[in-house]
Amino acid sequence: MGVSVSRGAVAAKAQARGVRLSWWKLLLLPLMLGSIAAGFLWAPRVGGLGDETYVMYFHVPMAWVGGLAYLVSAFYAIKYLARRRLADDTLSAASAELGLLFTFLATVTGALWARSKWGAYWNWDPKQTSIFLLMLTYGAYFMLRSAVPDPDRRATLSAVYALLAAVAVPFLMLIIPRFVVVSALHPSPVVDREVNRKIGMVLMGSNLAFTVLYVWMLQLRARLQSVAIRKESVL
Amino acid sequence: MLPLSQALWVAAPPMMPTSDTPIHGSVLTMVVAGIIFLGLFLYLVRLDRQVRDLEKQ
Repeated sequence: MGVSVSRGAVAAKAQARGVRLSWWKLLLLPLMLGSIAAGFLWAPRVGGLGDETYVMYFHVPMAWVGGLAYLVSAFYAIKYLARRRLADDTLSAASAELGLLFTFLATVTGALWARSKWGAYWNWDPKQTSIFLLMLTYGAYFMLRSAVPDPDRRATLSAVYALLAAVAVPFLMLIIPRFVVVSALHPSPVVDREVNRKIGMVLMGSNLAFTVLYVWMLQLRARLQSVAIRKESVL
Repeated sequence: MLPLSQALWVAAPPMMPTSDTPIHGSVLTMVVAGIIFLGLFLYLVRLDRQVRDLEKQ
């Protein structure tokens, strides 16, 4: 029995070795390594930031992917409400998970930057406060999901919540910290015209690399979930 | 023997137009970031293959 299982595992591994990755997944390698190398060696440092400029090439794409993931979560929530397919609910939840992960990573990289520039990891700056509120909002989304055992009811409630939460995303990530609270420690968005063209190009490359990473992770999560559902239905 | 930071300084001389501070610490950070990302990439490739195996079963 043990021998047959191990032989099966070896055969599966050998078969898997022959499987090639999609081109867009392979694209991640040159995109990410190129962005890292260009960020450190090619693009100039921002005058007032110095060495802390490098944090920007990770912090900004993480925040971008976080926001994108929340909006994608809302998109699949709408699809679920329209078609009532649990696969859409799975994708909505998976995207919200990744959104929370990338928002958390953006917060951590921002806190490291803040320690270096502002002297403390946490300063209750409007951007820090609003991102904290956003994480609380999506933390509540997962609490809601874990509190409802029935899959259909959970999916419906989660979809409605994901839609409401997504409405808050542009306000908390962009409008309030940038346009409502004008006095803040956080530097201005780097898409301003005065930012060096090279820095802009590296940021675009890094944003693209992190977006590919997010899509890959989302796809993996959805595929795993569909395998789990298939196995449950067989059992 | 050169310390790692100095060795990296030799391997990758400063190229930043606005830099007037030593770069070797930054190069070390870049190498570490690259290694972390490579590890993540290889992990994702492995995970992708495992999921594909599960889908075939």
